[in-house]
Amino acid sequence: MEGASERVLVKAAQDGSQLAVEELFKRHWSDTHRAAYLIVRDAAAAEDVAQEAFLSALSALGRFDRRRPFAPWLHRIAVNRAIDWSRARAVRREVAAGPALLDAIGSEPPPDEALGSGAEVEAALGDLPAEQRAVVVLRYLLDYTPGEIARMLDLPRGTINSRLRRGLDRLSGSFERERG
Amino acid sequence: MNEERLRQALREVEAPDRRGAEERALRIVRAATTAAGEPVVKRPGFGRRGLRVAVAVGLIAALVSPAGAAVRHLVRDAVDDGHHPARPALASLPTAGRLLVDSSQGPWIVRADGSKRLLGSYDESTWSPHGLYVAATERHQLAAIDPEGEVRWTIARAGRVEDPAWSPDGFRIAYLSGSQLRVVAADGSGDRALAAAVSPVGPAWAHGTGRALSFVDSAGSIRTLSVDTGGELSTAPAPPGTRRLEWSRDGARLLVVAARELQLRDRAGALVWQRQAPRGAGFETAALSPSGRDVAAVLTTQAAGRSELLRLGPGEPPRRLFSGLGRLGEVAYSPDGRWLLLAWRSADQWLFLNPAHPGRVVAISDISAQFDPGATSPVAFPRAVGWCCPAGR
Repeated sequence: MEGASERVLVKAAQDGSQLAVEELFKRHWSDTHRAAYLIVRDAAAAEDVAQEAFLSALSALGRFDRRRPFAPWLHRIAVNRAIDWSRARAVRREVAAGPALLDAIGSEPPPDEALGSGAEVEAALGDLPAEQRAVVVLRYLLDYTPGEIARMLDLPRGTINSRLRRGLDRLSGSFERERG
Repeated sequence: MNEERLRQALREVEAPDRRGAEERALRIVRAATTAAGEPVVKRPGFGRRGLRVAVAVGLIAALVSPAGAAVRHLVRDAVDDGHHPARPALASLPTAGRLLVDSSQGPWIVRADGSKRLLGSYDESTWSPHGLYVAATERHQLAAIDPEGEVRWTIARAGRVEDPAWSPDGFRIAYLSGSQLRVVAADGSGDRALAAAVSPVGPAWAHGTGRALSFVDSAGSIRTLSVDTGGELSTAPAPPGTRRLEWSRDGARLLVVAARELQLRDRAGALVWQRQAPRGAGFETAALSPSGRDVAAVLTTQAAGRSELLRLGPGEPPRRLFSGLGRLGEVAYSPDGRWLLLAWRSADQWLFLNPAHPGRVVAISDISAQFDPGATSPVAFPRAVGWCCPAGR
C-alpha cells in the first residue's frame, strides 16, 4: 500500500481495506495534527480535533468522490473544527476574543521581513485570531491557494486575501516585538 | 515577508507529545474502522453505528467538559434569541422561485415545494437569467448544465476556474481563471480573456445592456468594461477588502461590499452613498434588494461574537432585521423581494425573514445535513447562491 496512489488507497479503503485506511492515516496525520495544533494552540485539543477529523472523514468515506483529492476534504474538516474549538474557548473565557479582527485592515503589502524559527512563529501566531491563524496555516503550511481556502472555509476569496494580508502584517509585527 | 521562511518555520512546529498523539489516534482509528478484526468501512451497519456511538460518547464527554458548557450556553442562546422555534426540515420555500445552493456534494436546486435535485459534483454555480440553465465550475472546467443536471457543454482552462456570472441578456458567461477575467458565449464558443491581473472578486454584469462587466483589478480599482469593445466605461477606487460587487436590476447602482464599508456607485462610477462599519465590526456580505433602493447587510462584531442583519439605504435610517450569536452567512432576496434568506451558520439554520414585517421569521434547522444526506458529521455549511427568477420570467 505504501506506493499506491491516493485514489487507489481511497478506493481500497472504501472497499474495506484496513491497510488502506492506515496508509491514509500515516500520509495525512502529521500535517493535519500540526495544522490543528497551530490553530488551537493546545496540545490536547489539537489531538482531539485531528482525531475527530479522521473519524469523521472515514465515516463518510463510502460516499466520497474518488475523483477528488482526499487531503483537502480531511483538512477542511479539521480546520473548521479547530476554528470552532477556538471560538468555544473564547466564549468560555468571556473576554474579548483578542484584537478585533476587522480593526487592522491594511491595503499595503506586508514588509519584506524574514520570520524566525518555528518556535518564534508559533508564539507570534498566538497574537492572531483563530480565523486568521487558520488561513495562514492553510496557505503556508498546507499550500492551498486562496480560492481553495475560500471554498474550505466557505468565505469569499476577498476575505481570505485580506485575512492573509492582515495575518502576515501582524505576524511580522509580533515577531519584531519579540526580537525587540 | 519572506513566505518561504514562514513555510519552513511552520513545518518546524511540533505539538508536544506528537508521537504519543499519533499512536493514540491510530489506535482509535483502527478501533473505529474494525470490529473483531474485520474491516468495516464498507459494511453498512457497524461503521456508522459504531461511529455514532463514538460520536455520542464524544459529545457527552464534550458537553460535560468546561468547553462543552460554553458550547451549550452558546447554542441555547442561539436558538432562544427571541425568534420562533425552528422547523426541522425545508418543506417549502415561503414564496415562488427556486434556490440554487452550493454544497460539499455539489450544487442543488430547491424548488418552491421543498424538493431538491443534486446537479453533480461541481464547486460553484450560478443561474442563467431565466433559470433555464446553470453555469458550474469544477477545478479547471466551466460547464453549462440544465436544471436536470444534463451537461450541455464544458470548456477547460489551464488556470482554476471560479466565480461564474451569467450575463442578464443570457448570451455570455464571465468567469475568473487564474488572474484573468474571461468571457465565453452561452453556447460555449468564443472564449476569450477580457482582462488580465484581476483580483479574486466575482465579476458583476451591469443590467440593462448585458454587455458591461465590472470587476476589481489587482491595482485596486473597480473597472467596468464594454464586453463588445473592451473599452472602459468607468473606473473607481475599490475600498480595502472589497469582496463583492452587484449591479441593481435597473443597472443604475453598483453595490460594493468591502470589509469595513458599503458603497453604492452610479453608472459613471461616482459614489452616491456609503456606510462605514462601526469600530470593531465588519461587513460579512450584503445584497441589493430587487428594487435597488436598499441593501441587506450582515454586520459582525467580533469581540461580542454577535452578528446582525441590517437594512440600509440612501436616506433611510438603519433597521435591524435580525440579531444573533455567532456567525451569519450569505443573504439572498426572493425574486419578488418580499423575503430574505439569511444563513445562520452558527446555529446550522436558514432564516426566512420578511423585511416589511421583521417579526415574521421562519427558521429551518439542520441545514447542513439536508444538503449532505447520509453524512454522520456535516463538514460544510451550504451556500445559497441564487433565488431564481425575477417576476414575469
